[in-house]
Amino acid sequence: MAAGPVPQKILVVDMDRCTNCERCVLACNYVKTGRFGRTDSRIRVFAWKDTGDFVPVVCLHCNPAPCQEACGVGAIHRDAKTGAVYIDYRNCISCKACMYACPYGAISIDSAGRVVKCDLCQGDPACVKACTFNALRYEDATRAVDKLSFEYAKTLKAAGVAKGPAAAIRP
Amino acid sequence: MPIGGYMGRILIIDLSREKIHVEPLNMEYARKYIGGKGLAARYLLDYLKPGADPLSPDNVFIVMTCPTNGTLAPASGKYPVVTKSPLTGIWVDSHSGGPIGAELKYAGFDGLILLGKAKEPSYIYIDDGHVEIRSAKHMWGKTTSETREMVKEELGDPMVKVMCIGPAGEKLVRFAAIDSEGRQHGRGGVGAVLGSKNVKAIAVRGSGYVEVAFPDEFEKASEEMARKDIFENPEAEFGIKWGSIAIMWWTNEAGALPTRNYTDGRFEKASEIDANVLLKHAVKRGACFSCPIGCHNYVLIDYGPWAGTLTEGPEYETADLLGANTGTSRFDAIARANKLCDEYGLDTISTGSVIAWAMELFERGILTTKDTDGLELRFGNAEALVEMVEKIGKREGIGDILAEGTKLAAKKIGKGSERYAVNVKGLELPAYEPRASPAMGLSYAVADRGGCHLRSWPIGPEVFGAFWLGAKPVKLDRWSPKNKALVVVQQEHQYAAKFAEGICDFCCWDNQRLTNVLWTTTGFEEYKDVRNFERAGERIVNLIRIFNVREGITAKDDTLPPRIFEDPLKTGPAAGRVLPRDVFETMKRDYYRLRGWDKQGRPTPEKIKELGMDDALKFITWAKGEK
Repeated sequence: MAAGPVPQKILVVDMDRCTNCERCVLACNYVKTGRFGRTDSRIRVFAWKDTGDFVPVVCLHCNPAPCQEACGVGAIHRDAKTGAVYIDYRNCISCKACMYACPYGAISIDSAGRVVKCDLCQGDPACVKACTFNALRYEDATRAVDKLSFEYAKTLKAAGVAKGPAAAIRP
Repeated sequence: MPIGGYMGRILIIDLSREKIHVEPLNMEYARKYIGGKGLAARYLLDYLKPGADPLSPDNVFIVMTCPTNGTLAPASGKYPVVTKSPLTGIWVDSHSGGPIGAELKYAGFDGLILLGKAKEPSYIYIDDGHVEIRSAKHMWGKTTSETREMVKEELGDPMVKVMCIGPAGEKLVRFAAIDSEGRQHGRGGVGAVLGSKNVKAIAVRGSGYVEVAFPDEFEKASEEMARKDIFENPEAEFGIKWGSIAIMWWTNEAGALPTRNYTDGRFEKASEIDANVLLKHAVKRGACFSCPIGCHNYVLIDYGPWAGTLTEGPEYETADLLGANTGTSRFDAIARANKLCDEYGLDTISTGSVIAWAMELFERGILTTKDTDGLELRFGNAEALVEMVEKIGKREGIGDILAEGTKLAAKKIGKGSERYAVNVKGLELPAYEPRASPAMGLSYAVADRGGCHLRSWPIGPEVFGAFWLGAKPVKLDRWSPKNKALVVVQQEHQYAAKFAEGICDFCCWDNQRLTNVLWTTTGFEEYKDVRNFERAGERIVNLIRIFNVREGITAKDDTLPPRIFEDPLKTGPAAGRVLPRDVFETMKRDYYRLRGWDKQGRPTPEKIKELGMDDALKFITWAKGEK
């Protein structure tokens, strides 16, 4: 299967900034159902409270997407505008093949028994708006990667190997 | 009319009879007392026999949620546990921002009431409608983080939320805390009450949901609160950047930083333990459930004998009571003591205070190395501080006596040690010095659970020099008793109603915005009127006072430790000052008058009727007091 169109923006999960407040979970659940809870949320946060390790788990909209490839009834599509991988419930038979295929465990079952996943809220993700710590960001893909590369570059600079003879031997 | 924010059910577990019972939430109570501590106070009055021994099966232990818990209202994660305190023998409510409040609601319950005592060490598992008492024999003796992981492992559910006690709670340390997913219900020995009931942990998993009554209006009210009280509020900026410890700069400047067992109001080495030092070691931020502020810092100690210690905190009170108040200027020792308190399940405030007190007794020769197993228990001895936390957590050696808290331990030690104990009604004082802030003295003396800074916080307006009377700023003289009782009364109403609503003390100080979130959540339209919000606060204060009077509290108990009246502070802006008794008595008299209580500090039937609390009239058994 051919790769879909390249999305302009991606959902960035910055675990180091996550505080485990779970406002993303509440916001997702609320925007999808008008109620506050966890069950209908498309994002969940796992926490190791005594060490401060917090891991938000949410669909990263793989491209090509294993869930899309695993779907036997053609119910999973990619939104041309946002690049979001979404489920079309006219075709979905809740067989859960997509859940098995997902490498992140980011597809879940909601309180109505439907298979659900993040659809990037049509390009305006509620979880991102709820995250006051900037742990979740909806950013231009290139710039998001620039920031990541810059962090790596900074470690080289800090190690003192960005200039001088040592710089030459680095790949 | 839609009602929201409540689940409509209270779960009652009789541990002795192993009976599980669900009763509908009394909506009349909910309307009057909102939720949290207010609602729990009403249930405690119903369920607890007067005069019960706090550590006996007769005591009642309540986890109560608040209407905003589980929603996106800003900083709405706080929920209380409520019981009769083994440290003070009176009311205690102790809040934490762990996710159990929300989870209990998702499981379908507004509150959990524990009665009796389990036959053997047990934990309670609540999974939506399924409620089970399970054996915790194999968890007895484990620390809080070990217990939490064991429960999750055993239940095979990483998302189950666990509140639990550590070894200190099992050993009935009278200021044992309860851990709620890394946040603590610290004060008043609530952990010992769970321990006395043989309950090691309460595990909750809920797949339900909370609905608010008016979603559109709720969104608007929440957005406004978040914007005005957090993101556009320069004071909140402090909390966001540094956490509670930032206030140490201010209290030290004001001469209100308790130092060496409350013998001084200024710590000369405060700069070695303050927010700047904390930030140097901070590795991660954390937040309570549904909080956009996120004031917690995880610190990692990478040097010295306790290298490798990773702990959440220290918070301000912890840094003062375990630090300045024990004369300890080593940040690594404070972080280590903090970590040990969390793991054993101890209140850092009372632990710090009881150790500081023992240090003073040692310096005065009342305690000697014979009593301390050879430990040089002097102010500033960082190793001794850490060692003492362990001894208290295990009730080893002198730790066994100190585990009783300053009030009871003073009776055991004798030799005049009581003179140096710093508590109100048995609850050790937190980190604001009343000789540098007279109104704070009144606040401590009349606070519902004993020496506590979270029933009112008048030191703010007092040092600032003004308070708000409606929309009008009124000047406040720092050292005069004038208007102090009024400030305390106003704040007590706000704090009581706000905590009952479920909003954190770090978030909002505007009653209109608080009540906007409350009525949009609950649908109780009377709370559109801010005066009714304040009245609800007043009802809660009176209700808890009724409870305390029923347990024997009178005006003579509303006092402060002798040190505050007699020993002048040594340094800082309040150097040379005591809190003069006449100033204190004037404030206290004003306070009773404003409250409409009699001279014995007892709520009168007239006052209770005026507040529309006819349901509580039956608890007023005392004769009509003198007017």
